[in-house]
Amino acid sequence: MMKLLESWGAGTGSFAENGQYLALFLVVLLFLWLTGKEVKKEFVIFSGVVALLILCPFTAKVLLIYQTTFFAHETVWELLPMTAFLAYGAVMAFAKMTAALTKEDREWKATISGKKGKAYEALAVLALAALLFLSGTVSFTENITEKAERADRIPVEIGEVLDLLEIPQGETVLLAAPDEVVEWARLYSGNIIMPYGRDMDEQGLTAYLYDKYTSDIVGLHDWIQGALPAPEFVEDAYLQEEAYAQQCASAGYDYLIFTVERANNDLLAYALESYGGYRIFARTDNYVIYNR
Amino acid sequence: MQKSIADKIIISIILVLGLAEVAHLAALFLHLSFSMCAVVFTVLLLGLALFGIVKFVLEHRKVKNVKGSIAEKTGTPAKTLLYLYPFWILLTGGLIVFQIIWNYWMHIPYISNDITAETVQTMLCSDSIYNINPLTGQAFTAGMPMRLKILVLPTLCAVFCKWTGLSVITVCYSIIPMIILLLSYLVYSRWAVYLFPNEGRKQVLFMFFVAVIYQFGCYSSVMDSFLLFFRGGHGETLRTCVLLPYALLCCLQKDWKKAVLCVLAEACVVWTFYGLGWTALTIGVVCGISLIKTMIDRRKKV
Repeated sequence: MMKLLESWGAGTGSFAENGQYLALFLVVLLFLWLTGKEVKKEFVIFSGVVALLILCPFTAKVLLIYQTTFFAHETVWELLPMTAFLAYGAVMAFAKMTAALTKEDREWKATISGKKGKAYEALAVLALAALLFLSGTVSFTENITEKAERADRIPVEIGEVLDLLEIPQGETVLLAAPDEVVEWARLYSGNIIMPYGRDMDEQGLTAYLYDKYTSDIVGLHDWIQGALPAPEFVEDAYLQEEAYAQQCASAGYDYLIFTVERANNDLLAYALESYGGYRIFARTDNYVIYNR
Repeated sequence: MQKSIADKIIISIILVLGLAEVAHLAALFLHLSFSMCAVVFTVLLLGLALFGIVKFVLEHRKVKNVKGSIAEKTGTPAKTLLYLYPFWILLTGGLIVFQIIWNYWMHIPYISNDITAETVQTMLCSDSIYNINPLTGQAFTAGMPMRLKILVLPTLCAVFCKWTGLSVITVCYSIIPMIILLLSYLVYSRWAVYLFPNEGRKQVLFMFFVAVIYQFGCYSSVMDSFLLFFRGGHGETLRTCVLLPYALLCCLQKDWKKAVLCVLAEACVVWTFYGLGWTALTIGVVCGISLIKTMIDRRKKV
């Protein structure tokens, strides 16, 4: 029971946390219900029924079961005809507002063709658009993505380092890189092959694939990231670097990319050169590329 | 009711999805290469185009022959609307153009929880369908779920890339989202006609408010505009912003054939349990409401 309510709360919260369109939806529902004969009753009833089904935790659970419980609770909100209903409510409110304004203005009928009517209309639309603005947001885009500075819309620092790789036409190269580079590498070129993909770092993607990573690959990922637990003694640290450098060489990785901070480790540089046969191929402000 | 151009475009896109699904499933189960899949799809598409042209010519002749036939018109011709309400139409158009440029061309794509582009890239590079892990580029060891393999959008994007030579990022994060956004506005233009028949001013304002709601309503991952602006190439977006509203509209207009087409289209782009997706449920809810209403009306009569 608590689980059901928690899931419902999280699903509803995601819809009502940063904006008030759900509240606006309910206000519009009430408004259209009270408006009477002028509205499309079927549409209003449908919207009301669906809102009820979603807002009641038990029926929401039934909807999720209908969807084989494969999708998260948030997806049930897709059923709600939010956009059409809010826009419908806005236009109906506009009609009511202009009617009310013109009714009060006794001179209206005499000047109906004048600018005053248009001014009333514009005022009503402006007020409704302002309501939609105040109930929503303008800054969400900036929080989750950044302006693209490259033509291919890949982040600049990642594009810079990927541009440096030499990928022969029609051939593939094997690359091991930090997560932020891995994220874009396969989008940059389908000829880049990697031991691990974005799903190593982004757990949500594991639902798309049955493939799992072996402990060797997880270790390699952590080594590239510099996330392996630091050994107590320098000798052990050196052996660790040596083991992974040899693993990379035997697996035939053409390129290894490290962050500048990670590459500043002398043990790493020595192990890569001595046991992996890797040399520094290129550098950017943020990354160092090794190849063999 | 006379079919509008918007209706024809939406139905054509749904039919294209259906044809792509046929080619995709054929390639998937017969283990054909991606190139072969693209050829099959192209042939089917040409067939559909030919059928469309023939149908158009025949219908055109029919209309010309029947003198004085006046089809039922509930919409106001776009040119007349533009002449009567240029300010609102230009404002709405400007907002739509801004949304397209700002979201699909000026920002880094939002790739979280999305493997569509990698899947497309992999299809193009390996010339195969779902044999290679799209995230690593290596051969699959365990594969991926069949519920995802049967979905057609990645294959459609890959065919589009192959035809046009455009980059995967451009197609998956600019072109396809833009098409889906415009389709969504087309669907709502039909809504405007349905909600306000013969009221041009209200139709225009309805479209303006839809654009405003999209613009300011992007505050949560479940909002329509979030899906359109950040997950534009997803099947989920096509379902939520095009198929669902269109299916509901068709149900309200008692145009069940088109509603069923939407159910089938949803099954092609989003995992549903044997087609029982949100669109089918929408039809069910509308039918349920109608049934209850009929029963209440009968009781009242008795």
